[in-house]
Amino acid sequence: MKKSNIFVKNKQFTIFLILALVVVGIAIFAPYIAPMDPYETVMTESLQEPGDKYICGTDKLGRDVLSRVIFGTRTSLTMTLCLVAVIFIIGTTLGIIAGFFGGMIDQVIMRIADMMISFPGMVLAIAIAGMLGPNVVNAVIAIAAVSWTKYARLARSMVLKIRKNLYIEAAVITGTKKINIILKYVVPNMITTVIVTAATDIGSMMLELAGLSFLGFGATAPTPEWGLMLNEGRAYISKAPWLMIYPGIAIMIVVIIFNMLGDSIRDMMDTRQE
Amino acid sequence: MRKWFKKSLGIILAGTMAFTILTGCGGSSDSGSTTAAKSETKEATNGGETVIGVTSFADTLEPTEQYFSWVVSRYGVGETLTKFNENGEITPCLAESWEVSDDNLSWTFKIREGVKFSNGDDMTPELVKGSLERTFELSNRTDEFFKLDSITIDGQNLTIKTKEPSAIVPGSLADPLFLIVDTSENVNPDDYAMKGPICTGPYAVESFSPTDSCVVVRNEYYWDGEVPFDKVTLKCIDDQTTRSMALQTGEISLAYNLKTENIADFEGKDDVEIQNLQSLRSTYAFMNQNGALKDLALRQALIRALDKETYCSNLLQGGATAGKAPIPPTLDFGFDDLKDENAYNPESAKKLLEEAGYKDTDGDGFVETPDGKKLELNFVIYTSREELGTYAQAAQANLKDVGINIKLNTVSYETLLDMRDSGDYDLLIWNVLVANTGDPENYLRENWYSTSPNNTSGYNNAEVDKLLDELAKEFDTDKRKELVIQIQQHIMDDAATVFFGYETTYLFSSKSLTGVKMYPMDYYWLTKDIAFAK
Repeated sequence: MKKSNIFVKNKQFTIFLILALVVVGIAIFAPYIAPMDPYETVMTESLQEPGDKYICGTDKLGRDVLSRVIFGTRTSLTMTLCLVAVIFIIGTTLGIIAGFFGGMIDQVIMRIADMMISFPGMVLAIAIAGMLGPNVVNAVIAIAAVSWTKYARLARSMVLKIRKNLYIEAAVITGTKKINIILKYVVPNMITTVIVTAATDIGSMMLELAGLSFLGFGATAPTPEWGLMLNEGRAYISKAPWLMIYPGIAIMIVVIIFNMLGDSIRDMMDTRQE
Repeated sequence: MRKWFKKSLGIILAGTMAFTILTGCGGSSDSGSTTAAKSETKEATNGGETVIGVTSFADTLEPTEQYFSWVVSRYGVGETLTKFNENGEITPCLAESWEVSDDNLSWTFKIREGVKFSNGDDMTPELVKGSLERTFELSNRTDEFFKLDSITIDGQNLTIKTKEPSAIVPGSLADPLFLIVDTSENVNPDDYAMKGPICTGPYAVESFSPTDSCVVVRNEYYWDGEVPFDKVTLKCIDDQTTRSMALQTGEISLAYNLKTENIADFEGKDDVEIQNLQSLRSTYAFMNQNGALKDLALRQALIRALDKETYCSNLLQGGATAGKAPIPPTLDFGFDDLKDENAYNPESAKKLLEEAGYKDTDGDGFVETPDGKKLELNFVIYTSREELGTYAQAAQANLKDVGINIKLNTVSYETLLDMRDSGDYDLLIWNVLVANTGDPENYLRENWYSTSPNNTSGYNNAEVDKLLDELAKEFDTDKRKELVIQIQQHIMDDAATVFFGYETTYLFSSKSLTGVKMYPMDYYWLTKDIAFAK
């Protein structure tokens, strides 16, 4: 009963949650939804206009654009969720450690974090991806390396705030183990905020990954990935605009869905604003 | 409330931007047929500045390094003793005339009088000698042209003595590698790399920034008539789409290396002229025989799996002719008579692999080597030529069908050169002018002679070496042709290299310019003839 209330109360959240689940569903069931094999090249049917046979046309190697866009959901979504999970875990853990223990540990972790943000994020990510060589995993590593700092700083500042509370002092005085203090008193009090941040980040992370692939530092041919598809279609912008339009629309829709979902989660969690 | 306002404002802004971008690129797509047109002769005016969009691979302007001399020549800075005209024939330039001695060993060039370098120095035969000797000393590519014995001077005559008879000396000297730089005491050759060499061309380098631009200004001392522009900026725009857009917006007045797909960008716009030329360029991929491709059967299977005809006619929309041999059919070296036993035939490719023991043992759809190791071929391509990506991806798709796993590695041209020199590749794309000396001898020698420094793929066929040596000494045109055909046949039989195609080159220029011409030997981009039309 209580559960249904949440969904009824937060209509925006419900709508976008359903839409997000649809996107995830498309990614999971891509082989059943896609009309054709996204890797199959029919070179005699290169750059066919959208029509009956190919709903969204074909690319320069005669691959079905619609199928590639659908399979692209898989690539983009997996990459993005992995990336967000990685930075969420690494950033939060380091932030909690830095905030809770303070002193040297704090100095070391936060100075490394400062170092990372003193560069423009995307440029540093390009440099890292360039050094590691272009592939999907390296793109995730590159962006993770520049994005974890945000979570570390957030987690650290919240831990510092929580530590001043009387119940923490009480726990210390009663001799609770440090690990228990962190897990039982610190984490539960801060984790929602960090989760909300992670949820709102999904959209922008997806864009950054697509951006990296577009620049040639992420997914490599022939992987169906939206950023890469945009790049491949670029040369044909006048001749075959559908090569850019459909992956572009896909990126836009999915990013909007996840951004709005993140926003509504924040509205739900953040009671102070009301 | 404020948040909603911000959000909707953002969406509106984004929408407006998207709309402008779309309308900006839409243009009118009337049925204007933009076909190749010969440059009209318009009256030229002098003065002014212009910007030309180029692709560049030069880290420095030091002419003896890599192929950087091409850039010096293309930018209208460097000139050579002889040059090629629009028909690919050798004509006089800094040398007025030349002749060969009876023993075919000594070539005497009469050096033009009254030529000055862009710093005002007279171009004396001594300085020409110094410049040539500098090239022979610093470049490791000279031996593939001809082997120099000595250079001597007698008045205005400069005599080049070769160790063995070589028929291609005048043509070789038209290669930008042998462009004439000032070697007098007034200049410091260390400055050539970043400040540009002092040469005799219509323009002189004012400033150079490797990946960005090169600014050239009028050479006040130019020997061959008036130089039209005060200043020309050669802007490096490596990205094809950006280059096309720059021409559409008028940011540049001339764009090199645009392709068939860009023709659609200019449909219905009559302020841009498009010329095309069946070029003498060949696109091929070296197969590194120091790795997995040592096996002839694998190489044969690889070539047989590639449907090059379709790549050229469908994927590149006729922007190239399908390849099979080192030399394109535009040059008369028996293209049609050459027998290609590795023509497109995926079935026989599969059979070859099976017979040689390549089997898919782990069920991933790709074959493993006969000794059970994973086979993944590293195919290196570079970014500044869009069609290379098309070839490579199409090849990757075709090879997947026969079970050969290809990993594409896209790098910049500079990186590619390093990778070629270090042999760090399985397949490496190459796009080169076939008759850089007016004749394919140097091209064949440079790439397939066993000890050539450019041959890093480990190709070694004693018969080819022998024929190439014979070719170098042969002066008779018919016999030379016969030898070239034999050499090509050997290279094809050895499945040494994947010959993808021979491209058609395009030149897109604004109609505000006159005198824009395409040369089969693309050493000449900015010439003294290019000027604003009246």
